[in-house]
Amino acid sequence: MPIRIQETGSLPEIEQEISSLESEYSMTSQQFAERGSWDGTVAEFDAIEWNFLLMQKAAMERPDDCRPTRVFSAQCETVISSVDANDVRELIAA
Amino acid sequence: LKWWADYRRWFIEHYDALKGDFLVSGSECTGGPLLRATPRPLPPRAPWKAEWGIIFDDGNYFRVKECFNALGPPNSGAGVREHFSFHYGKAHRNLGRDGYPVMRAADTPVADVRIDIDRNHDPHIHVNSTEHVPQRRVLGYSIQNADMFQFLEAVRDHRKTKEPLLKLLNITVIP
Repeated sequence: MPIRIQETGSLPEIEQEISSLESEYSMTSQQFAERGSWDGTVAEFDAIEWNFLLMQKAAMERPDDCRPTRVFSAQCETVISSVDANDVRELIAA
Repeated sequence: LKWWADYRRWFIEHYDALKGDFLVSGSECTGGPLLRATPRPLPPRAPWKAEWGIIFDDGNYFRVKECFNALGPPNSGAGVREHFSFHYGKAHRNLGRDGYPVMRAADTPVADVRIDIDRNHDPHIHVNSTEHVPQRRVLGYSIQNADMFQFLEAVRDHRKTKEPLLKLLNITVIP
């Protein structure tokens, strides 16, 4: 079968998948995180999956951070300060 | 340290090169082949995972899975492999909800060979046993750097030649 490539998804879908694993093992994500669950309680592949889902959920919940870094800001300021005000006026006029 | 686009290309190339060898005498588990990335913020990025499995007509199967977690600033998109499991051995006759042979049944066969890195254990392998064999007892092979497709090439060659899988992987286990 062709490779399934998933590059889309939503937070509720991920949360549903986590809930399914929690139900299957009768464990909360908190319990999973605390116990590690690598003690044989959770099958190896499920443990990898669980950890992946928790990481993906955390990534999805993180706000998009598009603020420029300080280095980038400094570079911008250098470029902006080197622009001649007359050039800008000409550009606007054009 | 990897990026999703590179990893995706790498996986597809190796999958295409290997699948013909395996599909002759096996059928793919419905859970794979699967590549899954995190969709936001665009472009797709870490965390991502890959998994694939084939059950052969002699009752053996392989299942491989690896997961890359995000590393560095949120917008870097880079991933580092933190967890993986490469498994070969007899398959349980029943399939689980995820489409792969069940692993938690009392009569689940132990793996011929499984190579693992997980969160709480040091890198280790299993050889016909549930015992964890740590890296210090494994000579000739770096578990940390284990390559999914090198493992699968060894499985292919093992099935063709009957050479022991450990020998093909250049693994020596010491007491």
